[in-house]
Amino acid sequence: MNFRLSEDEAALKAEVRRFCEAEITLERLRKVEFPTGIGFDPSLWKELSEMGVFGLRQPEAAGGAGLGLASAVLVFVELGRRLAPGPTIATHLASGLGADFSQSAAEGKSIVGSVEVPLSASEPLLIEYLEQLNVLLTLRPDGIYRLDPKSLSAEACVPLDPLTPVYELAKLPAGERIAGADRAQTWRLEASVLAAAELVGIAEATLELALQYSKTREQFGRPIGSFQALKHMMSDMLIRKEVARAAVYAAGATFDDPQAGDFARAAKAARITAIDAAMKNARACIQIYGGMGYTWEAAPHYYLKRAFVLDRSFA
Amino acid sequence: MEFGWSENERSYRNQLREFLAAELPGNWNEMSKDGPGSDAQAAFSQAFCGKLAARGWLTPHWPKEYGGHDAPAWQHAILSEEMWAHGEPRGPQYMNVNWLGPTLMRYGSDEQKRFHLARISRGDVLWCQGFSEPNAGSDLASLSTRAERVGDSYAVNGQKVWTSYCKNAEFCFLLVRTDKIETRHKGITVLLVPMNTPGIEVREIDTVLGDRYFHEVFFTDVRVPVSARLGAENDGWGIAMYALQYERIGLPRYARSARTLELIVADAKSNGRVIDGAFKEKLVAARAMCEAARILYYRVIDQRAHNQPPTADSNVARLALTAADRAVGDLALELGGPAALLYGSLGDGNFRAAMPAGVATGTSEINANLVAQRWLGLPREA
Repeated sequence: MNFRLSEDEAALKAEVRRFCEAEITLERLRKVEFPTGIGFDPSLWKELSEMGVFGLRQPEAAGGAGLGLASAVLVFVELGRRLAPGPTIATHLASGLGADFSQSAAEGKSIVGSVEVPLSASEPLLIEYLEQLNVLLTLRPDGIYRLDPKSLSAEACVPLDPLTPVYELAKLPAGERIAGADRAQTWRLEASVLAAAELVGIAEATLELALQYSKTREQFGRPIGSFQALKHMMSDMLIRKEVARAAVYAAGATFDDPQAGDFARAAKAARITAIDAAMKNARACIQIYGGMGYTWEAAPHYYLKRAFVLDRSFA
Repeated sequence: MEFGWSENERSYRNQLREFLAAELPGNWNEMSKDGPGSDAQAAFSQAFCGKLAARGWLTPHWPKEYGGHDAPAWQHAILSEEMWAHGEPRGPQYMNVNWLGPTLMRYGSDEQKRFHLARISRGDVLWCQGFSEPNAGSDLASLSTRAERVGDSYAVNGQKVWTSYCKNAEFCFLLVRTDKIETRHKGITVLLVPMNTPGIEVREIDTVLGDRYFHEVFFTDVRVPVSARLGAENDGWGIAMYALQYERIGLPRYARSARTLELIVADAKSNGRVIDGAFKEKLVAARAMCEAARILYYRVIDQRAHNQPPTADSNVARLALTAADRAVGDLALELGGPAALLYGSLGDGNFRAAMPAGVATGTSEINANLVAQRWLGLPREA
C-alpha cells in the first residue's frame, strides 16, 4: 500500500496543472462559446496533443508515454478543473484501438468522439463536437463501430452547456465494427473513471472559487466566509471532493493492478462519489456567489453545466 | 382543522382553469420559456391582466374601494396557484398583486392609493423593485443610494442591482438613503419613482435564467417629487419589511413544481425511458416536498386570513418552497433524457427556473438565521 503520489506522478500533475492554468482560461473558452463560436479550440487541442494527454497510456514505441490509468486520472482531474474543451476522453481512449489511432494521436491529428447508441428511437440523437471530429465511434452492446463524421448530416443545437457543442443527427448509420463487446465494456468503464476524474476537478475548482469569493465579498462589515452557515457549506465541499478524489485514484490504481481489487466495482464507486461531489459543490458555489452565481459573467454556472454533461456521458 | 375547499372555491378554480385554457395561446410553452420578465410575456400580460381584471379576478381579495371584491384571502391563494402552475401569464404583474398592493394600501397617501391601486387593479401597469445594491445584498440595511432633499423634490444618486423586469416597468418601488449611512435601517426611505424620469439608466445583466430577468439601474441626479415618497422620511425600513413579508411568501412555486413533475414523468414514459427504483424514490420525495410546501404555505395564508401577526411559519414555508423547487429542478434534468442537454427543453427550463430559488428575495442562509434568532432565541453571530 502506498497512498502518496510517486515523484513522477506528482511532477506529472504539477506540469499539467501549470499548463492548464496558463493556457485554459475562461477568457479563452468564452471566445469559442457555442453557438456563437464553434465550441472548440483547435490550437488548444493541438497543445493538449503535444503534451501527450491522448497518447499518455500508449507504449513509448508508439509515441506514447507508457503510463497507466492511475496517471491518466491525475491528468483528467486537471482538465476538469479548468473546463478543458473537446472530446478529450474518447480521443484518449481511442489511441488504444490500434495503430492508425495511436499514430494519428501521436501526430496530434486525432479528434475522436463517441456516443452510446440510445435505447429509444423517439429521443433526439445528440452528438457532441460532431463538426470538429475526424472519427465518430458508436458504442453498441456488441462492440465499437467506426463512422466517418463528415458523411453524417446534422444540425447544430443550442446546448445547455455553452462550452460543449451539440449536434442533432437524423439517423445514425451502423458503421464498421472495429472492436467486440468486451472491449466496448472496458471502454465504458475506463471512460466512466476518466469522467469521474474530470468531475473531481469540477468539485475542486468550485470549492476554490467559493473560497476566493467568500474571503473577499463583504456583507455586515466582514467577509461572508466568516459566517458559520457558509463555513459549514465549504467544509462539506472539501469533504465531498476528498472522498471522490480517493475513490477516483483507487479506481485508476485498481485498473493498473488487477490484484488490488475489482475494477468494475472501483469504477462505479468513483463515478458515484464524483458526480455527487461535482454537482453539490457546483451548486454550493453558485449559492455562495449569491446573485452573481447566476450571472453569465461569473464562472460557476459553466462548472455546473459541464458536470451535468459529464453525468450523461459514459454513465 | 379543515382541509377541504368550499363549493365556491372549487368553482372559482375551475373557472380559472377554463379561462386559462381559452386565453393561453397554442405556443404558450415556447412563449413562457424565458420567464415572466421576457418581452413576450410582459406584452402578453398587459392584455391578459386586463381580461382578468374585467372579470374581477386580478385582485378579488382587495377591498372594493381599491378595485377589489372583498373576497377572502384564499381566493388569492387559488389564483396564485393556478397562475404559477401555468407559467405565470400575469408576467411581472404578479408582484403588483402580491406585495405592492398590500403595501400601498397600508402606507400610501389617499392620492397614492387612488392613483396606483386603481391602475394595478385594472391590470395595466408594470412595476419593478429597487432594493439590492452591489454592496447591499443580504445586508440590505447598508444600502447607499442617496436621496438629497432639494426644495420640494429629492435628487437621487446611486445604483441598484438584480432588479427584475425593469426594462418594461413604468414605476420603481425604490429604497433610498436619506440619512447618514451609519444610521443603517433608521435612515431609509421609500420613493415611488416613474422609470421614465431623466437620469435613470437600465442595463440588462446576462444571466443563466432567461431574458429580462435581471438589470442594473443607475440613478444620476434623478429628481423625484416629495409627493412620490411612500410614508415618512426615514421610515422606509419598516415599509420594506412589510412588503417582504408578502413578497417572500407570495409565490406558490410548489404549484409549478408539482406540475413539472407530472410533465417529466409523462415525457419519460412516452419516450420509453426506464424510471427505476432510485428515480421513483426521488420522484416520490420531490412530490412529498411539494405537498409539504403547499400545506406550510396554506398555514401562512390562514394566519393572514385571520389577521394574525407573522410567525416562524412564513420562514419555514419559504425554506420548504425552496427545497421543493430545487429537488424538482434537479429531477427535471436527471430524468429529462438526451433532450435535457438542449436549451429550452423541459429539463433545461426547470433547471434555469429553479436556479434563483434560495438566493432571490433573501438567501436561505439569511432565512435560516432569522429562524434561529427570532423563533429559536439563539444569539446573533459575533
